[in-house]
Parts: sequence; structure tokens; C-alpha cells
Amino acid sequence: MTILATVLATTITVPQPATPPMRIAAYLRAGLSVHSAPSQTIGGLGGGAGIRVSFPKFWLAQADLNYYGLIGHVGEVRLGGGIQRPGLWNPAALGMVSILFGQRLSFRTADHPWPSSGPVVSAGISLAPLRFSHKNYTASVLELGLGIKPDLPGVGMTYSIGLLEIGHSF
Amino acid sequence: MMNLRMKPAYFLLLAAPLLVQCSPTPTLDEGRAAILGDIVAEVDRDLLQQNLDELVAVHEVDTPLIVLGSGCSLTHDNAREWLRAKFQAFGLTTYSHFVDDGAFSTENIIAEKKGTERPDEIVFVGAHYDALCAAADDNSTGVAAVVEIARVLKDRNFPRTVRFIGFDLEEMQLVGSTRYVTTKAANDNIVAAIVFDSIGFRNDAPHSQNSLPGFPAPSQGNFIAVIGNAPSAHLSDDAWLVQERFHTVKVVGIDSAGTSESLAAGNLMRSDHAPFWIRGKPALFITDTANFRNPNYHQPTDTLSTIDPVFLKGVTQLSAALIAYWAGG
Repeated sequence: MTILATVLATTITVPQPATPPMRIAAYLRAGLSVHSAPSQTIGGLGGGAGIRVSFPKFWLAQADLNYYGLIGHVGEVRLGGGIQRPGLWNPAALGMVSILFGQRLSFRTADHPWPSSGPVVSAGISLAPLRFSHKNYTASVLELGLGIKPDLPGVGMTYSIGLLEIGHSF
Repeated sequence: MMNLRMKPAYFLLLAAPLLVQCSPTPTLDEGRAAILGDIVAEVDRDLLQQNLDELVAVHEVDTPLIVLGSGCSLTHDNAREWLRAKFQAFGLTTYSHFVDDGAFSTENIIAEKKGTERPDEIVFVGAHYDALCAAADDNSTGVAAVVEIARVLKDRNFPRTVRFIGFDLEEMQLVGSTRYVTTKAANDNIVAAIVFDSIGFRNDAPHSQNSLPGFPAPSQGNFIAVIGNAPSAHLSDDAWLVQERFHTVKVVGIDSAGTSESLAAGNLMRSDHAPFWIRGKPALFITDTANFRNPNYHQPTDTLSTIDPVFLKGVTQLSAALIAYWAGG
């Protein structure tokens, strides 16, 4: 995260187009999100829709709601905030909170004898290295995310891959 | 300064995720659990082994239904008659469910002990009696366990009806059990069930257990997998409680998402419980995970010498207790 921020900051200091004002964009996304822990596996393949707010300079915040299949019927709310490089090549790095809820595989062992049915809240980062913007449109492929959540005992990891995102700003 | 009247609302909001995850821990009904210790003690390791030895022997001399190129063959006739004779010798009401669709026939063998108070509520334990190759773990162990449980329970009376079922042609994509649940048992009120498939192979060596991404498993293949789905989750709870009470065998439980119709549930649907799950009937699938642990799976090396009799007894004890617990409900 520190290395990427340094790279982005370096590129940002190169003469750039005029800083855009605050913009709101809506986006559709397709991807994979799976939380794998000693006690449960939840997530799947699917997609959703979201809202992104780009602030002056390079800050952004976004929220999206997703549905996944493959393992069961799963919903996900993602909340993120971070930095992006203005311009045609528009990569971003965000801190992300993921809330997965719905059906899941549960595993019973001596450490986790009783299945959990509540939402799975994990925190991590998401990187969008192949994101491009032109006029009011944004497209992004292969966004990679990694999150973590205590499973007590143990730890669960959330892996996400954004296969395609298309957005339009207003 | 914070408005004090809003404090309870803030705490409730913060505590909401904890409240969602905190639910009462299930407990055994002690009234029904009183007899379980006797039932666990009555399971006989030598009789289990005798069942196993006889089953493997009858498969060995049987006329194959299908001969496979790997040197293995599919057999079922001798095992079917062996099972029928065993149930009849126990004095249980024994009948067959025969279906012939013109392509090939199946004959499930069923023994029944009618319930004394609610005979329309059915608990069953079943295993497929057809076998590929040497047939020891898959599935002479399962059939041997069904027979031993029938022996232990045959002289006891229960409020609910108990059935002991040998399913035919599981190895040809669950034919016997599918025909059973769609015809004979279509309108049956099945309240609980156990299906055995390969329950006798244990390996204590590190890294002897394989699995798939998203399915965490212990490194050692020294446990029995007890697999349920959402409609069967209460049965999984009972299995955990009974094993905690009697410690007959190490258990790892897997609860599949929903009713298990998702793609990821494929490997959890590989035996005769699957037709029951598809039709919303509760059942537990009990297995040593077969090819994820046993290198002899569907091989000529699936022989008696590879079976762990202590492990098989532990699985049978757990299952006998569960069937009695549910039948007494």
C-alpha cells in the first residue's frame, strides 16, 4: 500500500490536467468474492451496482451492493475509500470493508462446533490497476481485493476479483 | 455533548452484529438421551467385522452386472440376498422395493420396525449394497453398519417408525435411492435419516487428508465427516451433541448452503442422501470422504485389510445412538 501510494504520488506530481471538481458516478460490476475461514466459506460469483464519489485532487469513496451465486444465495455490501490517479489511466487503491451475508458452507470442529449465520465483516484493500476514464465513462478490469476477519480461533481471508466494471459519472 | 437519550440506540447498533450471531446452544433432550449409553455399548465390533467379512466374500463370488476395464466389476445380487436374509433373521418386517423401467431393474431392501405412537413419522438408516471392485470400504462398511444397528435396535420399541434400507445401484448414479424417494417414499414423512457411504478408512498420518478450495479439513484423515444441509442442520446439531457426549469417533461436520442445489455443493451430493435432499427431506451423509482420503477408492485394493475396525465401530456407535435418539422423539 505504501509503495503504491508512493508511485501514485510520484505520477501525480508530473504535470496533469486541471483537477476535476467533485463527481458522482454510478457503476455496474461483475466479479468474484469469497470469504474462506476455518468455520465457514461464503461468497461466490456475481455482480452488482454502486455509487462512487470522486473528490477534488485524488480522493474517492464508493459503496456497492452485490449478489453472488455458486455456493448459495449471498449478498455483499462493500464500502471503500482511497486514492486514484486522475486522467485516462485512472488506477485506484482503496481501503475496503466487505459485509457478506446469506447462505454459506459451515464447518464444525472442536474449535467451531456451532455454525454462524450472521454477516461476515472483513476489512482490507482493493487495487484497481487497470482502470481507465474518458469523458464521463470509466472501465476497469481485474481489480484485486484482499480482506481479513478474525475467526477466533483462527483467521478468515476474503478474496475478491473484479472481472469488469463499467461506470458513468454525472 | 452527546444526547444521553440516544446512547441506548448507539449501543444497540454496535451490538447488532453480535446479537445476530449469538443464538442458544442446542442441547440433547435428556429424556430421550437416557437410553443412548446402553445402545452405544451394545454395538459389537466382532459382529461388525463378521458382517464386513461376509459381505466382501459374497461380492467376490458374485456374477458381475458390469465388468469395467480397470479389472473391477459392479456386483449386487449376492449382497442383496445376504442383506435380506440378515433382516429376516432379526425378525424385522422385510420387503423389497422393485422397479423395472425396461432398461434395468433395481431392488431396494427395506426392513422396518413400526413406531408405537407416531408410526407415520419415519427415521431411517441406509447404505448402498452394490459395489465396485473389492467392495470393502465402498460400501460393505456402510451395509455392515446398517445391519449392526438393526441388530441393536430390533428388540426396542420407539414412538417413531425405524427403517433400515439397502439401496441398489448407487454406483450407477443413485438409481435405487432416486427411485425410492420419487415413488415408494414420495409421500413419506421422513423426519431424520443417515446414509452411509465408505465409513471404514482412517489414516493418522499427517497430510493424509485431501480437500478442495473453500473446504478446510484437518491434515490427518482420522475423522468421520457428517454432512448436512440447511433443512438437516438440526440433525447435524444432534450429531455433534451425541459425539460430545460419548466420544466414539472424531467428527468434522459440514453444513452445505441452503438445500445444496448450488454448483459448489457437487462433492457433497455423491451418495444416496442426495435424492432426499433434492426433495427437501432431512438426512445426514456420513462418510470417511472416500477418494479424498482413501487411495483404494474404486480400486482392486479396496480390501478388508485396509479397514480400521475401531474406527468403523465408533461410527456405528454414533449412528446407532442418533437413530435411537430421533426415533424416540
